[in-house]
Amino acid sequence: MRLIIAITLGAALGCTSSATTRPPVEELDEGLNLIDVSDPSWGMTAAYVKDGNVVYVEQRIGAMKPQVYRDTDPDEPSNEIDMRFVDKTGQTFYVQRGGDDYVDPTWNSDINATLKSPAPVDQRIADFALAREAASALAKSLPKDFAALAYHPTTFAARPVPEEDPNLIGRIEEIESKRPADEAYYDWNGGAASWWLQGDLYDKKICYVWVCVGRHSGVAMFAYNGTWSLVVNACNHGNCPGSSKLTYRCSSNSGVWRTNVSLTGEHNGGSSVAGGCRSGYSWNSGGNNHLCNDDSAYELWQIKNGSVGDGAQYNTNGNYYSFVYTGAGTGGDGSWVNYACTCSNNNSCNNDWSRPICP
Amino acid sequence: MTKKYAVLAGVVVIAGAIALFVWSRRDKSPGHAKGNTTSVHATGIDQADSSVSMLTMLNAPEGATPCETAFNALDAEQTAARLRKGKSMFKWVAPKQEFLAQCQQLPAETQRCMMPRYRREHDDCAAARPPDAVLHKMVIPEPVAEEKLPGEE
Repeated sequence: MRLIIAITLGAALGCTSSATTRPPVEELDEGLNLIDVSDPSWGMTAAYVKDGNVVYVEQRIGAMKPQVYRDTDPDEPSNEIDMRFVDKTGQTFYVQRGGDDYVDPTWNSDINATLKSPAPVDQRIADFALAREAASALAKSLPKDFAALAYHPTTFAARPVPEEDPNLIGRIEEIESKRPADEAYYDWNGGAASWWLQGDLYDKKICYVWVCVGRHSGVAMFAYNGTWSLVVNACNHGNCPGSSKLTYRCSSNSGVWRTNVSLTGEHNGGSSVAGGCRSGYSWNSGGNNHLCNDDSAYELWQIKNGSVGDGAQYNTNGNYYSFVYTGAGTGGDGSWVNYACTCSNNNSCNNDWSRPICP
Repeated sequence: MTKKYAVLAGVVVIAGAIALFVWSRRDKSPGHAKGNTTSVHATGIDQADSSVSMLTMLNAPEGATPCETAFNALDAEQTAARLRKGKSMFKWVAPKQEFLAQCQQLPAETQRCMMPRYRREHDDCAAARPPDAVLHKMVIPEPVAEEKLPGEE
């Protein structure tokens, strides 16, 4: 294991910088390289090398979780943590976000860059396998005061990679059969890349003395282009999809191959059209607020439509605050399911204490 | 003149010592731009009645037995709801002695599952739920509009 503390010139001169140094593979040792483990209140950066390939692991500490989440899951980190894996070309291929916005906002543009230029299939499959090895090694090697930053790598290492994920492997035949003929082997370097999107909803009940007051949910978003090339795991402030705390419930998919896709997730945009819920976050969701299940609903719709914005089944109620979608009600009654970012604008904010349906 | 130089030299030495001290105590980590770690956006969750109920129960004092711990949690939740004029998760909680007498007749695992801190770690407590007729002699939950999936509480 190699320890490198990367100090940029700017840092040496005393100014702040969010620039991440990723030494090229030839400058790294085989196995785990701790590139920056200087400040556990900021995060960490590491690289893992095997047979000439490298993946970089980065984590950034975000907002303190609400007290009720900290007390409900005292074994989890107290802060929301963003984590991502980056390949040898600098492409982000897995990102997990703790809350609604990335701690480092440049990660958004990095995800968009990945969606514009899919990696070769074999490369990406190898990247995910290496990422799992990296996560396992990292969790065992971080310094003692980085314990919180070992949590998500441990969880990641225990999960199947997308190629082995039972919720994904059965889908390939259908996805490939729907690939447009002229997209069969799309020019990797030109034109807009095409994607098939899938969102898996995970949730849990929150119960004490057999009274269940609600559910927490998150969405694992996958983008397929010859293989599952990009994963965006949205934790929506609480437990993350794929952790042992949440259970897989259902999935949505784009139904067709799409171009110009966006996987921002719910991120408190200027309006529900431009990117999410503009209102505050609260479990009293009926009072100009929203909660994790609204976030999940938004994310599932983003999967369905391939992007944010008005679509055939995506209705913003015309007020640019809330959004609704049509479909079978959560209770199966066929009514509209109304997930809203600001419920008071439509006076019928039902169901957001329940898990959203998978449209 | 000599005295003047001596004072000047003294000032230079002291200033140098201060500079050396400040330099030695500087933040040695690379200059990382940190995220906002104060919970601004999600903090509203903690203000909800249900959050206050859960926080109160999870932090209630330990009792001598599982049943007493459970009662302490329920009692604390009722008190908190009353004080903040909020909504409790429970419509009614039996007086302590009555609660303990009923609780102690339950199977050991059900008694443990009554304790919020134990329940937090044990999802299998769903299977330990006593029948309503028994549970309602200790506590009557407020009706909650909730979705039930197969096999859930």
